[in-house]
Amino acid sequence: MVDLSADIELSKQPARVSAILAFARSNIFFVIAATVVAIFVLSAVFAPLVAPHPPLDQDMAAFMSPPLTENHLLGTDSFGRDLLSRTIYGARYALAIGFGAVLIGAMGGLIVGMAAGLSGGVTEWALMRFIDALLALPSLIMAIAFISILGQGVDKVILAVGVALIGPFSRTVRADVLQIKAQAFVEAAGLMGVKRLAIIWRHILPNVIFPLAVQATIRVSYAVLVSSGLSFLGIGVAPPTPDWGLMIAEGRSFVSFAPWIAGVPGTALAILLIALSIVGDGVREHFDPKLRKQG
Amino acid sequence: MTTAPIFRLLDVQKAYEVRAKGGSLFTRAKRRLRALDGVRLSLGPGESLAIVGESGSGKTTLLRVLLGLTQPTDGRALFREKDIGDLAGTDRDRFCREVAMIYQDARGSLNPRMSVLDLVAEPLDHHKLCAKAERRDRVTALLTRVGLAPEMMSRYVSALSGGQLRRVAIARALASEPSVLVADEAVSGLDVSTQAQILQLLRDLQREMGLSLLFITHDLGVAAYLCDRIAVMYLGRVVEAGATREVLKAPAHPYTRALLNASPRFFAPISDPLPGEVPSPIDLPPGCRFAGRCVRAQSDCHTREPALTPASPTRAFACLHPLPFSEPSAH
Amino acid sequence: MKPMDLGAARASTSLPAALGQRIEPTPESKPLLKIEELSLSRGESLILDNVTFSLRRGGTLGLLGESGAGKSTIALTLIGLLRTPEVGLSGTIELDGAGNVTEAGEDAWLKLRGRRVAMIFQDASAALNPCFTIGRQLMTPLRRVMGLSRSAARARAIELLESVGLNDTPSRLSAYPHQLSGGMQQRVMIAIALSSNPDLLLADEPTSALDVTIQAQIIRLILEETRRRSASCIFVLHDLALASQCCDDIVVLYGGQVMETGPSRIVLEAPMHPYTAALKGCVLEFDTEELRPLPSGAPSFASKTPGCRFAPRCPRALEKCAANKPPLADVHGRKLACWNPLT
Repeated sequence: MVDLSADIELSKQPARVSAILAFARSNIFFVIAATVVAIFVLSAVFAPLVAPHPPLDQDMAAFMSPPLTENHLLGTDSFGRDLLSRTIYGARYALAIGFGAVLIGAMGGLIVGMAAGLSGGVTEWALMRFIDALLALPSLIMAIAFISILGQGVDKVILAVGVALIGPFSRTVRADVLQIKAQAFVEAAGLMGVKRLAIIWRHILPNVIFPLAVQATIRVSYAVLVSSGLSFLGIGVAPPTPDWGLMIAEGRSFVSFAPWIAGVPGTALAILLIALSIVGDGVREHFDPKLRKQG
Repeated sequence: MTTAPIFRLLDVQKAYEVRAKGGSLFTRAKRRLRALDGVRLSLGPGESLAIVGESGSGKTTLLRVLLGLTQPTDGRALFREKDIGDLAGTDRDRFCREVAMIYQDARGSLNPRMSVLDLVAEPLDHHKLCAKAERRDRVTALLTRVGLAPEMMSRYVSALSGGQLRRVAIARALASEPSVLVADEAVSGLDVSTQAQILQLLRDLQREMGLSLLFITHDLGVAAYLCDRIAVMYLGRVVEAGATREVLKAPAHPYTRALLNASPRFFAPISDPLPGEVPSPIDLPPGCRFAGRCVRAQSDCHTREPALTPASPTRAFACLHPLPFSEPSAH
Repeated sequence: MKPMDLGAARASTSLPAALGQRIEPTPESKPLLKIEELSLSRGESLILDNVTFSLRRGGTLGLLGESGAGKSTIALTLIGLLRTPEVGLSGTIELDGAGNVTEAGEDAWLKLRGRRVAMIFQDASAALNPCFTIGRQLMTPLRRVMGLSRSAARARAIELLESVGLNDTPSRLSAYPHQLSGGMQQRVMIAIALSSNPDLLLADEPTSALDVTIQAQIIRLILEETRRRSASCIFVLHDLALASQCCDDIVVLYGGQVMETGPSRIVLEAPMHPYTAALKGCVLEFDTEELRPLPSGAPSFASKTPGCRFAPRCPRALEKCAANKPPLADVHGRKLACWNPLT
């Protein structure tokens, strides 16, 4: 990925390429993690092309065959379904749920946090107590509660995990709003006679959105984890969907003699979570003005 | 001056209710903190006035009253003969356009997510002072006027030095074609040569464009260089006011004298400083506020509060036992 | 700098007369602090370039210049706080004739820092730990460095606080820094710095965060206390007028190079270096009509820059200024590094 884009730009902007290469050299873990995430995303998008078998096809000749057997690189599960293919398709669900939920959570958090930070007084108090109530329960428990209301399904899981994330997002947004509201440039705009809505739109929102975007990257991995947890508990995505959490749950009974059934999706989940966390941290370190000292 | 003043403060008082120290949470008596107490000032067109004082003197509260950010608890703050707090409609728009503010914290007063072009153009856009097509040219002209290269337009705040930031802030203030510049410690925290550049720029702008200038500072040298008139504040009151040169040459109020002595001057011995520190403005004792630190204080200073009274057309002070000062020489 | 020159200059002027009587220097006395060709590099940049000056016992010296001149760097080097692997240090720092300490290990520095050399920081509110009482912050060095018992340390702490002008001292010991005003905090900082009877006090812009009347109090206090203990003091300042009031000698720095140094009366009365003159031209006095600011610019710290670092901004720069670095030479009672000085 990185090399490819570098090759294309090499002829046009050598200075820029060398800057990118310098960045890559000094942030080697970030580059590796970004590449891993990119591989997951690409295989999720092109799952039908990449996966050797359809995810639901049963190979009657190979039940619970271990990895590296013929035709099944990572083995099969108790129904004779190819684990590699299922894991690749599973990346679709994991990423869709992760990004979708974070999008909902960030949007909701932005709205609630902005409202709380800008309103002040009783409204702010009421909103923050509501958020405190949300935060009092762990996101997983929250999501379980929502699922029990909404029912099962991928879209429901996205919604449930997303809503559960609104609490933490709105806290950070409100803190940012309060800090920016006190800055001199906001007062200066007011003195110039700029209308309140315009001040919010032009001066406050842009300064809140950037840190929020950084927050969002960090929380994607958490959303993936929560959604897998839901599936593992059997209340998220319904079988036979190739969801990682569900696959791990299915493999649980066979862990003593066929550990790969739970191990393959488990490893995929672990690798994706670690890679997402490193990417999130890298993005934060690079863009967060609080960590980056002004020259 | 016969022309109507732009700003006029009539016995402005600003008091805050504070909870005093000591006592339990519920029994604490509320006390009054008088940040401003009977301040009388006026600023005419083309005039330059320095407000000088140490921390706790009420300079900042005065500024907030002038800008309409806070309402006086008593007295009136007028802009072109109308109460600043009640301005509405076209009066309000006019106030916003005519009064431009330069902040002490230049970096904080500029939105870090906006380019210099957008920052300087914001007042132009807001007050609809030029067509979209002219926007860039106007900003170029403004930047050139404050001594910045037009190439700076695409930069962001984080890429500017302290001196450049002040210049951008000044360009932005000038963009709305104001009649008054209000500056709060606009040159503090800069290197001496940068400070000199900014002071020179401000004085040139003030003289060439006929702006009124209200400059808040703690530095008497800055006040003397920039402003024709000076008002020295102590604990929420103006203790001495008048033509800067005359006041600094022969101050009548002992506090002005002390400030003058404390300012570093080449090869002068370090003065015997003023004893103690500025007392808390909560529940002040009767009499002159400065009496506790004043070397000339006599018994009546602790009982009678001196009012700011004019001693000559160009001088006024609030002191019962002023220092001898010469009558101004006729020009 | 030859101590003899200093003695002669002082005898003839009796200044700075800030505090009246001063200890007359014995001309042949060895300098308390001798810095020779001190250079400090960090990566590709040379932050200090061959800085040389000395300070006699009981004397006060001002390091002057704009931000980035290396004033604070010198102060931090003198207290051994810039000893990280990426910092390259060369040259000599000799305190009281006791060998060069630039190469010395941390052990040697521990014997100096806080004992023989102490520092007063610019921002007392940041330098004092908000979690501990004044008494604890003052008594810890007394007990650990001076080896006093608890009660002796307490008595000494009260004595020190009284000497820096705090009243009601026993109760102040249990106060936290935030309960004191900025001026009071700076007084406590001074008390802590004086607690070990140091030979050399470093004051890094000790008053820039304070009001002018408090500034006068604090500067007087530092001068009085150092004189009483016949200690020396190095002030890091940006205000030339203030330097003329409180420093016997000054060192004018630009971009880590010494531009001009000598007795303050001589250097500041009639500056010969264009930079010193330009700085003086920026000082506002109450009758200043015209300012003559320098053009904008910041010094380059690239170690390869061959010439005078001030040359790009210098109104009197010659061609050779950018090519060759002028040596620090004795001229008219001072030392000067300039190819084209003012006369």
